[in-house]
Amino acid sequence: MFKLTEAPALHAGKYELAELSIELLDNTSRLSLAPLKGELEQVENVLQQQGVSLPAPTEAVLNPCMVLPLGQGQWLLQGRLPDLDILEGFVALTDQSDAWSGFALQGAKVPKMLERLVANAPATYASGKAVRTQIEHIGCWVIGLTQNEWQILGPRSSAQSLFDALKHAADAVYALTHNGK
Amino acid sequence: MSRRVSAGRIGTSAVRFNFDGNQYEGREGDSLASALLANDTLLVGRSFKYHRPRGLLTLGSEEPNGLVTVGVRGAQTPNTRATTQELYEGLTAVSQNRFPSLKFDLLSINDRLSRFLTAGFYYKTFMWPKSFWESVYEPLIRRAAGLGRLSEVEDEAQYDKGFLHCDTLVIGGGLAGIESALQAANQGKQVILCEEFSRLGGALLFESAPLTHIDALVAELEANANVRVMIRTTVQGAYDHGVYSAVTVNTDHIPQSQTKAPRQTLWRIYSKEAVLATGAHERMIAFDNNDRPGVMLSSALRGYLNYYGVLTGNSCVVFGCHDDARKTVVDLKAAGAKVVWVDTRASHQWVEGVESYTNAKVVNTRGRHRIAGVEVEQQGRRFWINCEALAVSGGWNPRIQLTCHQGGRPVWSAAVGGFVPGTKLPPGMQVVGAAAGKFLDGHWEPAWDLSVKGAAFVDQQNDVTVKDIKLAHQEGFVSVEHLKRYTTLGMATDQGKNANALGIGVLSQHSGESIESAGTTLFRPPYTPVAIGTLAGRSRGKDFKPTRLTPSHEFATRCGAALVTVGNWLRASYFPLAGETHWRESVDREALTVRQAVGVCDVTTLGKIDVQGRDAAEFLNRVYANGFLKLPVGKTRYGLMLREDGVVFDDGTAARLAQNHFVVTTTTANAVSVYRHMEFVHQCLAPELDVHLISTTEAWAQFAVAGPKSRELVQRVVDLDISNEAFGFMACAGTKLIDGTPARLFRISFSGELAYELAVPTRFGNSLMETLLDVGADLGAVPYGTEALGVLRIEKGHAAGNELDGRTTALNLGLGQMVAQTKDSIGRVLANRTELAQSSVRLVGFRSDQQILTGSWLIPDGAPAEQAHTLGWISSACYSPNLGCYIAIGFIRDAQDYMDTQMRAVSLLDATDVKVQVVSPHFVDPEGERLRV
Repeated sequence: MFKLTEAPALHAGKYELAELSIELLDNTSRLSLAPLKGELEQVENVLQQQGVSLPAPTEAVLNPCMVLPLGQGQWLLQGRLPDLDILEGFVALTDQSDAWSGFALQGAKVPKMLERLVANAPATYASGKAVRTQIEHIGCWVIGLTQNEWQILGPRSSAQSLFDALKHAADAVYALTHNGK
Repeated sequence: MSRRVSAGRIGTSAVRFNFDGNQYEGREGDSLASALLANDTLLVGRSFKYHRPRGLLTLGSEEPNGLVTVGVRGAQTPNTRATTQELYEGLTAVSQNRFPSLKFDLLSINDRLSRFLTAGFYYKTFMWPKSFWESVYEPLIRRAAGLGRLSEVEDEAQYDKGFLHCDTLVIGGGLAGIESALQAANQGKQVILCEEFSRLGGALLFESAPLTHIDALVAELEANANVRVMIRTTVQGAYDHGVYSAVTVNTDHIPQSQTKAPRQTLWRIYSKEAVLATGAHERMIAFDNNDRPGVMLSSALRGYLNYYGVLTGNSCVVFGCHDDARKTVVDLKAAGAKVVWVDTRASHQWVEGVESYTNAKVVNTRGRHRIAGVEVEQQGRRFWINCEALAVSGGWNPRIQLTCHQGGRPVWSAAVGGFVPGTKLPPGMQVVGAAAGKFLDGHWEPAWDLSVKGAAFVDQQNDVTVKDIKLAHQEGFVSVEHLKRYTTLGMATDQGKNANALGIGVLSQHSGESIESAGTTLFRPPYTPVAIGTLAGRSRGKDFKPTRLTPSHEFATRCGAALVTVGNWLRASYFPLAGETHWRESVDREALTVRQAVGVCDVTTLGKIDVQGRDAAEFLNRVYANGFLKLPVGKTRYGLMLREDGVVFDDGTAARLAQNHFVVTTTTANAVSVYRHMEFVHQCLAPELDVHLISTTEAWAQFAVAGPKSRELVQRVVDLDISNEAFGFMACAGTKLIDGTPARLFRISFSGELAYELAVPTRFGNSLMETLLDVGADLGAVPYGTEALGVLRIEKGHAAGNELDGRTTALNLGLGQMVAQTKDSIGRVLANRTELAQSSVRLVGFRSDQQILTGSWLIPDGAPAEQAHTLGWISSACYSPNLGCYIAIGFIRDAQDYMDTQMRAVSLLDATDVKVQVVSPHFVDPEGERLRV
């Protein structure tokens, strides 16, 4: 009898430099949620009871799970997902756990790194904000967590390319800080 | 001689460098130019056309002559301005455009042939004999063209790029720029200040007055948290919507071995407003032989003295038509040089102890590799003055280049004696300081062409003389735009910074047309030359575009599969076994095995879109040409999607997993465009429908399991009865594997064999591929790639991207009946327009014992291979191992008249002309029995 095994999006997904680290977030539960027509209020009520709110465009909810505005009337939930069984028939739910790969960025030098990667103004990915953008032609989310913490979501199939892009920008920032005169 | 007479404003540590094989010593803070001058090296290059000996004209980025090659091998950078190249320990530079050496250049004979090489000479020569053009003239001209040479070795430097946002972008770090930045910052605005040089201060750095005031302002600026100061950063272009490009030079002033930092960074700066504070640069006067080494702009000669501590000559003549020349006279005298001042004006403010001539002009110079004297004419009398340097002050050109980048046209200001910004500026830009023509002082009188014989250089970089301008005008090129193109004035790497205004002044003097009326040509980005590597940034090699890896990529690479790029995806093309040396061996084997046993192919890349909602079926009914309202739960249907104009957009399947839940598939190439199209329909055309879409291409790994033994293999892994009775053709289900892994199963076939597509969450994809092959080993299961996938579908006669090429309709594809006429759907109306509905073009098949090439045109037997005789084209072709011959599918008109006849498939590009027989496009199992077994 066989047993399928899981493969991570990347095998080596951690990269650390002074004041800057990048780490792949593996095995993260994700779900897209879209209330059917006329059911938004009911869905919001059920979610509120579990402490989850649905953010407006450009905003991000960070606790108890992350919620990002995915599209018109559609959100992406990530992390400790709420119980949504009661909403069957009222929402369109689609598992997105393996659609994305997430990277945690930490450190005081991360803003310098992000200004090399993200065309959007830094205010759009400040704490509690999320922006849908492109990093090296890869459609991504850039999400502001705390002062020195961000998360980037990109398509799983491009995890290696995205990781390479993040590392190159990190290397540039590090080298300019330590080598450039 | 030219030598260092003081510390200037740079460091005192010694820095060794090499120029043209000779070792020299400079000082920390020197430019290559100032260091060469300090070592009495005035000769730095040979001019482009005439190979005249040339020295430095300026001390900034507008330098036309001091172009050298810095670095070697992968770090070799030609056409580097010596005036902006900061000196570092071990710098190696060579002069350009000379053979065999700078001092002795064989091609200096061109100077003696100058009367034959005037402007536009190439329009009048190189015509006879005609055969010489390709074999003789063009190779010679190509070899002679350009100045520096590329190393032809890959650039080893790293480059970088970034994006910045601000309220105010200040361009220029001189006094006007610093004051503007402070003013904006103190208003609470976020400010970026870009300065080309290695420190702030602008023109004041190069004057003799103390820097106390500017230093205090700089300190205030650098302490202000609202300001980001970027030195060594040149703003290169002003683009739409407040976007500016800028290049920061990170490491060109550091030995490459000492740094891993990116060499340069290209910035895209988004700014709400901009302040152009770029100052002005001086210009020359045209007189005979005004280009000798040692002839320099007055402010440059003064700047080398004050900033770098270098006195270019013990005896200097200062010649000008502007008050600014006096500053040079004063500073040179204070440095101990013997100075003579020649002024075209009737009077000026005298400098005690300095020999002066007013109402006078320099008309000629002498000296070969450096200036030795100037000829002065005053009130009809001519005489020579010996000198080691000549400083020329012909007036000032505000640096208004960026104001032109969005079509703004500068206007002539007689008061300033230069072109100033016009009324149309890039939105949000204001111009301040000398860039706006606001000089601190200066009386100017025009002095354009003072030449006698016409060997007076206007554009030194392109060797354009007064004579060339006169000739162009004489030949009818009277507009400045024509003058520019005919003479190449202003077309060199300095983009006319030194030449434009002077050239237009000369033209005006001789044509009689005022400068105001003549106007000027426009400047375009970049402001200064930008390395191609800088524009490329990190987008090189494998980082040029992102790569998408399939879930079974690890398996494929472990097997040694040949990989092929399909858009951004990397897919397995075929899986060679040991002993297989040619791709056809592998592909033929895979295609045969699928038809005889079973094969597994990763088809994850095809688009998957989750469609949910109470109106999901109605929505699909509108986007597909065929009907979906009555599709039962648990069934899949082939779907044809049309564009608004009735042409086929894409094809795929829609599987009804639940009453309000479909999974739509698309072709790989159209995964994004179909999703975008469906969102557009959802949001804009049918917002009343209760439907939600989301891409699940990434979320599910999907594998085609195809062949007569596919049912047996799939049954071994899924926890579901998939007998023909329980799971018939086109069935679908959400289910799980025997080990509990969630899965989806679709009984669909692209190959024409009994087949399934099995999907699991992506993280299990690689493992599923391995498991299927392991579990199916006794069935002869093999992996197959995109090549065999293509062969199988061509054998079956399935249309794919080659057939859905944006021109073909459902009718052309033989699928006309699929466009339902009893419901409305996108494209239905225009698909029925006469031209499309009456088209006789149909998809057919072709067989041959010779290779048929895709793209071949179909020509009747006996007819010439010409456009007028074409019947159609071949869209897909391959060798069929299952049929033992070459096959193809394609389109011909009046297809019904040509079935079972012979024609020719002709490719003029590949010089092939192959006899083919026209047959049904369904070579294998045309009745579809194998699908339904």
